[in-house]
Amino acid sequence: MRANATLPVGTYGYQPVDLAFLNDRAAQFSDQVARRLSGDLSEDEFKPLRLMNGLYLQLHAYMLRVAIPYGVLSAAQLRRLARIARVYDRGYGHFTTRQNIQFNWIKLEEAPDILAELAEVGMHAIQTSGNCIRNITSDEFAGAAADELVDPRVHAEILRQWSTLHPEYSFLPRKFKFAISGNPHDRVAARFHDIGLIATPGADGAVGFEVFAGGGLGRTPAIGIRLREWLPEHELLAYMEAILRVYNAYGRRDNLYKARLKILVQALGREAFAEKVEAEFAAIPKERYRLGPDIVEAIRARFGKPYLDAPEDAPAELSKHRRRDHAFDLWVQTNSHPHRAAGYISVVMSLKPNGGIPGDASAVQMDAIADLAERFSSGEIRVTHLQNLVLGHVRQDELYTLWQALGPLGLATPNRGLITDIVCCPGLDYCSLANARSIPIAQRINERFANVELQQQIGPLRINISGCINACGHHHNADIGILGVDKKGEEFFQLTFGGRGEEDAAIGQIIGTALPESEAVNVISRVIDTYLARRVPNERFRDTYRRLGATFFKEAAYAAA
Amino acid sequence: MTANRLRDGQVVWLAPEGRWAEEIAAAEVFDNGLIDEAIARARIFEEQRVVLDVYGVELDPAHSGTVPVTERERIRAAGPSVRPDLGRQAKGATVHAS
Repeated sequence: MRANATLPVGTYGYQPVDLAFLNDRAAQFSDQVARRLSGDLSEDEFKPLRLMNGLYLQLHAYMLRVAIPYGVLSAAQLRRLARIARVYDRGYGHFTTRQNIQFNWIKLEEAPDILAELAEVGMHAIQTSGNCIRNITSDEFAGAAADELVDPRVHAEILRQWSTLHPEYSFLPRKFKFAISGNPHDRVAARFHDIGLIATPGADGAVGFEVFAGGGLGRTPAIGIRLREWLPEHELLAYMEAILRVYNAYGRRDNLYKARLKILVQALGREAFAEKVEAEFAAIPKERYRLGPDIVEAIRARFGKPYLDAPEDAPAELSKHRRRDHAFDLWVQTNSHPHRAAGYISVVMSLKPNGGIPGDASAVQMDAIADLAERFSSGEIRVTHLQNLVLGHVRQDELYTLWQALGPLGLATPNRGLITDIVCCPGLDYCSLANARSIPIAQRINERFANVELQQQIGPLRINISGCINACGHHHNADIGILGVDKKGEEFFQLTFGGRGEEDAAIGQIIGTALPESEAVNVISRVIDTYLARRVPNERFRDTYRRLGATFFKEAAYAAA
Repeated sequence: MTANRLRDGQVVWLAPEGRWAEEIAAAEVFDNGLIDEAIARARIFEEQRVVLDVYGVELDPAHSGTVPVTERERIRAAGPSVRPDLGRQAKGATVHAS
C-alpha cells in the first residue's frame, strides 16, 4: 500500500516551526530535571513542571503519559514508542481510555532523553496532565468509516492547536476533556465529556456542530447537556472560548471534588449555565475568533490522504477467503468496520487476548504493527478509547494476508465489542490512586467467557472496570460496570448495570452490594445466563436489560450471592 | 519506612545505617511508638535529594517477615501482581501480592 503524498497519512503534518518548538520544550525539561537533581528546585517546585510534561510518580516508578492526538499515529511514531518501551521502560506500554500511551517504569534522569526522542517524530507529553485541556479524543474510524458524515480529525487538530499552551486555560479549576466525532453514531462518548462535539454537514454542505457540555464520569457521573443543536463552523472557536471562560470564572477552585465543569453545570442549572455561555459568546469579538474556510482548508491540507486503489475484485477475494476459513470469517464479522471506499475495510486489532492485560502492547507487537501498517494501511494506526488499535484503510483482497500475520502476534482475537473486549484501567497494580486491582478481575472474566462461540452467542456487551472512583476505566457507561473499592483492607467490587456511552447515553445503576472478586464474577455469570434465557431473538443485552428491568436482574443475579 | 528514589523512582526501603534498599526484606523495622520520630529523621534524605515521599508502612503481625498489611504496599514491594516477571518479585523477593 502506497500513500499518494509526502505528508503522513492520518496525522497532521508538522512544519519545521512545530518541530523546533517540541525540541525546545524537551531541552527546557532537560534543564528543569537537572535543576531538580542538583537541588536548585525542590519537589514542590518541580512537581508542576514534570506534570506539565506528563510525568507522574506512580507505585513502582515514574510514569510517562505520551499524547496521541485524536488517537492517530504514524508507523514511524509507533516504532519510536516501541523503542522507548524497549530502551527506557520494560518492553511494553499501556494504551489508555484517552487514546494515549503510558510507560510505567521511567527514570527521571532519562525522561528528558525520551522527550527528545519523541520530539524527533513530532510527539510529546504536553497537557497529558494538569488542570488544562487534555488530549482531544475522536472516532477511531475517522476519515475511513462508511457511515461518517464529517472527518473530525481536521477540527480535532484545530482544537488541539487552539488549546495547546493557551495562556488563559493552562490553570483551569480542573482538567478539561474534549471528544469530537463526525458520525451520528456516537463512538466517542461525546456526552460524557466536558465538551462533546458531533460534526454534521448542513443542507448547503457547510459543517456545523452539535455541542454538549458538562458531561463526565468520575465521582459524580453526569451526561452532558446539549448547548447547541447546530453551531456553525466559523463560530466554533468563539463558542469554545465562551464555555471555557464561563468555567474559568465560575468553576470552583476550593474543592477538588467539585471543580469539574459538570459540577458547575449542575450547581447553576442547565438554563443558567447556558445563559452565561450565550452571554459570554455574545460579548466575544467574532472576527477575532472566526474559523474561516481558509484556515480549515489549510489544516486539512496538512493531512496526507491514503492511496485508495483497490482492484474491482477485492470484495470477491475477501468473500472467497471468508467462505473457506471460518476463523477468519468470524474475525472479519466482529473486528472490521465498513470503509467509505469500495474495496477497502477498517479492522480492529484487539489488545484483549485471553488472559492478557487490556490495553497493553509489547515493543515487539508495536514494531510489528508499524510494519503491517506500512504494508497494508498507508502507514497509519489509530488507538481507540476502548484500548484497541485500528488499521483504517486495508484493501479487502489483502485482509486475509494481514489476518494471518496478526495471529502469531496475538493481535487477531475476534472479540471487538464482545464480553471479553474489556476496558480496564491499570488499577492498584500500577496506580497510586487505585483502591483495588482491576486487571485480575478482567482476566477472570476473560477466562470465564473465553469460548469464542459463547461470546458470539452473547453478542454485543461492554464491560468496563475502574480501580477507583476516578473512573479511568469508564465503568459508569458500560452495560456492566465494575468499580474496585477497599473495604477494611480487602478488595471488593461494586457492579453497575445499564450504562451506555453512545447517543442514548445512560449512567449505570448499582443493583447490589459490593462483592469479593470471585463472587462478582459469579454474579456477572448469572446475569449473562439470565439474559440468554430471557432474551428474544436478536435482542442485545442492553435491550433485554432495559425491557426486563433492574429489579428482575438483581433478583436473578444476587439470589445465590 | 519507604519512599521512591528521586533519580529513577524506584521503590526503596530504609535499611539499618541509613541505607535505602530495594528489598523490603532488608528494611529496618520500627516499633509503632517510634515511627513518627523515624519518619522525621528519614525526611533528611528528601532534603538530600536521595528519595521523595517518605512514609511508614504498617507490617502484618501475622507474618514473621516484613510483609505489609495492605495490598498496595505488598504490590509496591513485590511488583505488579499481574506481571510476576517485573519488579522485585522477578528477582526472588519473598513478598507477594495475594
